[in-house]
Amino acid sequence: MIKSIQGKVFFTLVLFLVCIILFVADIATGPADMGVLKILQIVFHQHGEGNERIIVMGIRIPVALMAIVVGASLSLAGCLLQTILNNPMASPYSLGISSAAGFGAAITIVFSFGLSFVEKDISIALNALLFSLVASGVVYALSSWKQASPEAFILIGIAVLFTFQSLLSAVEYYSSPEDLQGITFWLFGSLSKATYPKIAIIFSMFFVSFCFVMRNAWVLTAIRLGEARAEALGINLKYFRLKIFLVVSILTSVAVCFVGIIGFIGIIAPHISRLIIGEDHRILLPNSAFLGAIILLLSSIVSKVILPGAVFPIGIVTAVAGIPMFLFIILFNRKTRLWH
Amino acid sequence: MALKIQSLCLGYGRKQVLENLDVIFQKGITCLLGRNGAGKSSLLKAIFGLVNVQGEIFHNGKIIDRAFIRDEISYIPQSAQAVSNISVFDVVLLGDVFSLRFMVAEEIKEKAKSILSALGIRHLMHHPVSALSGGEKQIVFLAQALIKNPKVLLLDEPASSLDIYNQIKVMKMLRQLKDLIVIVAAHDLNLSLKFSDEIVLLDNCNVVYQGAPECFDNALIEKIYQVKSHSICENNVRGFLYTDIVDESHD
Repeated sequence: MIKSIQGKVFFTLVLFLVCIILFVADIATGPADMGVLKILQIVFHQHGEGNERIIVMGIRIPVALMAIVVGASLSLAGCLLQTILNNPMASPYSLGISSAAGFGAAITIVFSFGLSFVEKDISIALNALLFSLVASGVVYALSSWKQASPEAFILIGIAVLFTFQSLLSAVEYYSSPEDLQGITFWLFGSLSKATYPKIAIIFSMFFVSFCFVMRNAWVLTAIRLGEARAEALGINLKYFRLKIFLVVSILTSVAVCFVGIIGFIGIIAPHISRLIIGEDHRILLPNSAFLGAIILLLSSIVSKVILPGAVFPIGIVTAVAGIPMFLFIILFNRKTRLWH
Repeated sequence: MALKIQSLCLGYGRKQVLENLDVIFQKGITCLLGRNGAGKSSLLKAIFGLVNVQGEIFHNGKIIDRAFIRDEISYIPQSAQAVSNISVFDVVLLGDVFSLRFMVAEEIKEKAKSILSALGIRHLMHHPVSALSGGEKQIVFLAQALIKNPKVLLLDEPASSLDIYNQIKVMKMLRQLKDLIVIVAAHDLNLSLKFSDEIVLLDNCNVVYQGAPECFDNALIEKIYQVKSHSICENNVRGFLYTDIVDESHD
């Protein structure tokens, strides 16, 4: 763990730089061979042939930007959930938000219901958003109704998770092979349908949430002293927990509905940040957001390199590459205790 | 300066913990004694507004409200468990969490440093609080409680998990605090009698004794705790030695 505040800020700035470098690297990676120089020329001097310009401006930059905003959103959401629920296993996925989005997407694919005047792609996203908000609403309502403890909160989330997972299985059971394929691809998670409006929506949601939680950074740090001590500092924990959960559920729902289920970032990135930065949420929150963006950018690069000429589903890459790294950190870290 | 509690009732479900309790806490250290479940912790929580109660609590004749609790009362809950690797300095700052801005004001920082110096733990400032011993942790939380300059300080068994050296150290630190109503829920009679200005004894949902520590005697211990004891007095220091329980069928 870095002890001095200057060191923590410096490390966060380093992550920001890495993020920019990987952003450029991600744009430079792909089937059409283009060097960094060429890309810079295309972007800044309007050079390059028509096709190359379309590839860079229309595909690669949106995908890379999407990786940043989604990675940052999911990681921030995970970090917040782990703090307010005082549980290292909490993430948008483990509270059922993602699986509800999956169910929403699946029923749109299979039963084609949605708004007739919008594209199917957008209908899927809207329905995924709707269902993930419903799932969050259920968790929120049940938790606030009974003033749930953090453990009960997570168990309610798990109940919602399994409900939507079985509903999803039911839909899959009744769907045709073509639809099943569509569902599977959606569940894999993909950045390839990135467009600037979608990025703008996710980014604005991220920006608002980020500003809000940064204002409450000290309270979040105080919660990590333990529930009894946080209450003894005059924090209304139950109310605050629900308030942050509301932010998290909107943040994740918006990110997940456009890209599908990209697992694990919400768990792995905050843990690594916590390990290096400690519990000062003023720095921990931006740090884990940057780290989430970095991990998703890296995954995006790997997913393009792994199968030449095709894009391997990014959700698989994050999980497969993330898990060994994650286990390594947990198992071989003896100096600082990760969680108390 | 006094904290007056008037006809306070508190129950969890059907179980009544405090019933029509009237008590006045004066400036100085008051030790709150009583058996397990007598309502010591509950009374502290009630004063701090953590549990719903009936009845009124006044400070200097005025009913205390949320704002008063937030600004003027500090509460240190029982046991030092669940402390993470937040630095000692940050833990102390968190004592005034609602005044903290993103960039912490210099005056709050200076205040935290001066409290740490006064309590003799300034050298631990940058250590994570999880790396400290039980005694040091308790002093850190005392520092945390003092940073907002409270008028009332509530401590729930501050010495219970400490060795005798640290027990006396913590109690001596409390003694040094001036112009403060300090209410300590405690189990150790001898420690309480030595360091308190007044004793309040809870039993059967109410106060059964309030008075100077000197008046505390074997008969009271036997009546409330069902324990036989000898009192020892040497060089004006009084203490009790517990020998046996009165009647096991009572327990």
